[in-house]
Amino acid sequence: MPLIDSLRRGVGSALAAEGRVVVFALALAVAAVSGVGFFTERVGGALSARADDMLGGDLLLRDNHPLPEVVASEIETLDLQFVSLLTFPSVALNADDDSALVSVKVVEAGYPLRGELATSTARFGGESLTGDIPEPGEFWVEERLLSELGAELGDTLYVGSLGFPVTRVITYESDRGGSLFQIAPRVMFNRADLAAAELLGEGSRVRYTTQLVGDVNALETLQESLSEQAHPGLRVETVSDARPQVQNSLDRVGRFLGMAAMLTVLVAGAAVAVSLQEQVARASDEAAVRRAFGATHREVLLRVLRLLGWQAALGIVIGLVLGLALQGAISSVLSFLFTTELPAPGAGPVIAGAATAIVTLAGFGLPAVLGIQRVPVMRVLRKEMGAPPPAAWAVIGSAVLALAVLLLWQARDVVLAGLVLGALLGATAVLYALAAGLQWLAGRVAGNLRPGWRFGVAAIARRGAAGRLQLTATGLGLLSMLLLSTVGTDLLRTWQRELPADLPNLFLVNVQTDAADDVQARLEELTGDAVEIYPMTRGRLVALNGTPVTPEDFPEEARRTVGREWNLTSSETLRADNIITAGEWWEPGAQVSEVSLEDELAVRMGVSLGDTLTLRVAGVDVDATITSLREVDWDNFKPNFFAILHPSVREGLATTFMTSVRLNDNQRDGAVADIVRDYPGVTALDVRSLIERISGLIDAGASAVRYTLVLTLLAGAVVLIAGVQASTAVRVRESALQRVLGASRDEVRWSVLGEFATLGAAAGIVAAVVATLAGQLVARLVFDVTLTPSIWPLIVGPVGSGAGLALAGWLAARGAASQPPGVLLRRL
Amino acid sequence: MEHTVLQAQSLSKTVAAPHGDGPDLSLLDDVSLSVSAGEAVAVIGPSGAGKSTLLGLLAGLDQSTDGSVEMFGASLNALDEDGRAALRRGRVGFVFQNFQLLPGLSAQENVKLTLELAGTANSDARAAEALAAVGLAERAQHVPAQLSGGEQQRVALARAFAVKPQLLFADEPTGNLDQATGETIADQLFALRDQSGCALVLVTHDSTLAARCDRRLVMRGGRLDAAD
Ligand SMILES: Nc1ncnc2c1ncn2[C@@H]1O[C@H](COP(=O)(O)OP(=O)(O)OP(=O)(O)O)[C@@H](O)[C@H]1O
Ligand SMILES: [Mg+2]
Repeated sequence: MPLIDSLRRGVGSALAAEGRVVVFALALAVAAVSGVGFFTERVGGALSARADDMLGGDLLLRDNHPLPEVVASEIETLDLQFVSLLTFPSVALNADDDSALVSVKVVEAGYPLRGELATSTARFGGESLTGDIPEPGEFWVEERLLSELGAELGDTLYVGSLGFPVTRVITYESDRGGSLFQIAPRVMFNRADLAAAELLGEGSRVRYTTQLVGDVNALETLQESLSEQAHPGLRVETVSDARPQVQNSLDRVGRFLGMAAMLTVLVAGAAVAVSLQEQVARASDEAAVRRAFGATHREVLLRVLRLLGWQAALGIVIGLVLGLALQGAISSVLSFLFTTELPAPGAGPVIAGAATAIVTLAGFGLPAVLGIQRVPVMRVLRKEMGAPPPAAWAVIGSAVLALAVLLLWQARDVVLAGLVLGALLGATAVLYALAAGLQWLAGRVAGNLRPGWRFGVAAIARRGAAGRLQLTATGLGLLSMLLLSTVGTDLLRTWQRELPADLPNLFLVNVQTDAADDVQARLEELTGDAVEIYPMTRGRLVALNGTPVTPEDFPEEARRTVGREWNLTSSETLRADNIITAGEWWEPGAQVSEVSLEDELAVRMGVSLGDTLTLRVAGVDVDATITSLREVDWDNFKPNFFAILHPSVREGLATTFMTSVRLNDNQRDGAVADIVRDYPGVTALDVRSLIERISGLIDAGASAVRYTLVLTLLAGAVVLIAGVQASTAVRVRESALQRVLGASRDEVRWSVLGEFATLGAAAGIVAAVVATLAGQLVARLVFDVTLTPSIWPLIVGPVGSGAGLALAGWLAARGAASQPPGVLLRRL
Repeated sequence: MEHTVLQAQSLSKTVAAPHGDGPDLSLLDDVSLSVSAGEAVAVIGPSGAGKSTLLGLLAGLDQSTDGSVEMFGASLNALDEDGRAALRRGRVGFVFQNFQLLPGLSAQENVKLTLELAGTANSDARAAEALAAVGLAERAQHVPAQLSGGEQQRVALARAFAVKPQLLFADEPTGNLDQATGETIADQLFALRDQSGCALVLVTHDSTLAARCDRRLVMRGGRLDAAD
């Protein structure tokens, strides 16, 4: 089996001695790059799938009129799949003629082309995805409508001329759009019933929507011809118009993973550089002997390149397997997002991973490897004749070039890649300078230490350029580990804050004043925890500083908000998740006409502290002066308000209450239905489905961060091991000499321990300081979060790396300490 | 078959002074030497005399500052490094003071190395044979670290003779070994040489070893004289 034989031989040579470190470091770099690549590919896919879901198709046409004939026929010619929908506001009535504003959606078979429709056959019951649409003669409605009208499943409701039973509760409609609280509850019925409804008269505000899916080129053709034909009023929407709410968080995940991959590659590169040094030294000996026996330069070089080739191949294979496992783990967390089977992972990340290995190996190793050609053959006779070391500019130049290529590939952004590269070079220069300083210092102080330790510390000074390289690489490894773990854990913490486990999944609004206490008490009993209930009134801005205003009096970007009714609350105290950015919150107990406004809205409206707003609430006008501006975290899924009134302003205004809680399915069973039955006015908004889908995405991002962190930590450990291993031979020889010259075992051990512990601690201190500073910068500039300052890296860094390195060094050199000097002498 | 395998004319080697200051350092000065096929020549002399330097020049491992070397009738001066390597391939053997076995390879693989370079067929069997000839048949799969110094040097002998060279260079082949082991190695070296009939250039301190050669030359301060 010559093939298997040469395979075994190749693998064997690749993994001999330092080769193992080279291969493993490469594998980690490949795993990081390909794993992150697989992940972003899939999350990217998931996100655009979600965006498609939100459109309900790949492309959307909206108009206030039915689709023009020309367009309809073009769609047919292009062989695109489509469904048409109508949506319009209307009024739903129950048998007692109670009415509620509703948003009607008329659907036809095939709806939705993309995305999901989930329904339930029991109020507050379990949902399931459906491929059906309402049969002719039935309504599907949102829970909110049932509670607003005090109706039950099966009751007949009336919309226009239709009177149909409600057969299902709609729990999730991925293309619903709009804000949860703004849109009137949904009533959905079949297109076949449209004519009989008699709803499309004059003045009806119907929106005609066509959802399209099909061939990308065909869709593009349609888009182009639409933009040429000019149909007034016809709007085309594409995926880029629909942004999932969690996009920001996932963008951050993406950026973090990109950075982690870059740093992992960098650290792995450092490990490769250090271990290749040793491998090249060994290969130089071999090259001289082979040449003496008649091998040519080319043969010698090919041999080394073949070795590197094997190492690259092994690194790539192992790395890709790791990368696939990594993305598999992440994807399994994401699987809920995909209703259909995912396509096999693409070739992109595989190619990226392989390219990473080759670029890393070439950039960090090639100058040294090419130097093998310059090894004088005379080395076989005179050992001290080595190859002249490769020119510093060649080593640095090729490493920087490789890094630049890798960073550019990862970041796909010249400026970002340039910044990171600059920062890395800066950190490297600092570390190198400090390494030189440490060597100088070690030479000075060594004489004053106890004997064993003294040898060790003096050894640091003796290591010269190789020692500086090792120290720099170790420092870079530690730096990356500390940087990523601080930023990573902080990001995770931020997300946990944003999406706490007790995220509310039920909102109760329209709770009347007399019901508020009881509803609150019932919920508290259910959850066994304090439940906050907020007063809420709705008001419109009618005057500013006494002058009547209309939306048109405000800048463009504020008009929509000003034109709407605001949800107003009032409170004595400031909620912890609101931050005052200007002015002051009111003192408790005062009787003042004041209001606290959301700061971004204030900017958009062009109002500031001291301006007086007149708000019309149910026909009553109240004045309130702005005395504070607040920063509001709109993403925290709690009830948030543009304006908070001082309680004395709200007195006498028509008020209802609202609250949000998290209930599990057991707690929910019956209890919510009871509340809604006992207080018919109360509206329940069930957001379970939404929350589940959002927190699922965040979870996936978080686990991606965790997995890549582990990879980077591993790469960091490898660079430490590489550094220790690279100098083991020298140290064993030195230890042996010390033993021969009369040092005791303990002294030799202390010498090794002393050297590594000092090295580790020194590298750890520098790395921790730089990582702490860089972490703050990176968090702020790249991730838009504030890092909680922590003392831990400054302790863990030096102590951990000092102890870790000492242990690794001791393990590597213990042979020299335990054998009798005679044995060692023969080996010298 | 009295033809010459190695011929050196007025070899000189100077190197620049260590830090570029001071006059150039002369290592070899006007050395001439000729070795016939099958002849064994010993070069003796005190440490630092330039013996290894001379050996390197004769073998084409290094280039002289002045003078010429002809090996197997080809002028080394006219060849580049690869050309000189090609000339050595399969025809020149080496035995070094510090053995110079490749640490990652087994004894047999170390021996195979020269056979493969020479393009010999069934190199595995030939390597095993060569190892058997030095009495190491059962250590064939051991790596150098698992062998004693004497055993390592025997592997080196097997490596050098496996290709049946015409010319063998040996630099202090017993220098790293105790006396008894050294003698065994020397016995094997000369036995193998007698068998193969190759010429030998042997550098040594050891006068008894030198005495076994056909001719003895003495190196002193970079100059070569016939022994007394
Ligand atoms: N490339 C070089 N640069 C500077 N000096 C050199 C160089 N090569 C050899 N020398 C010097 O030339 C002299 C001769 O060296 P060489 O190794 O040939 O001596 P030797 O006779 O082999 O000694 P030994 O018996 O100790 O092996 C020594 O002083 C050595 O230091
Ligand atoms: Mg010598």
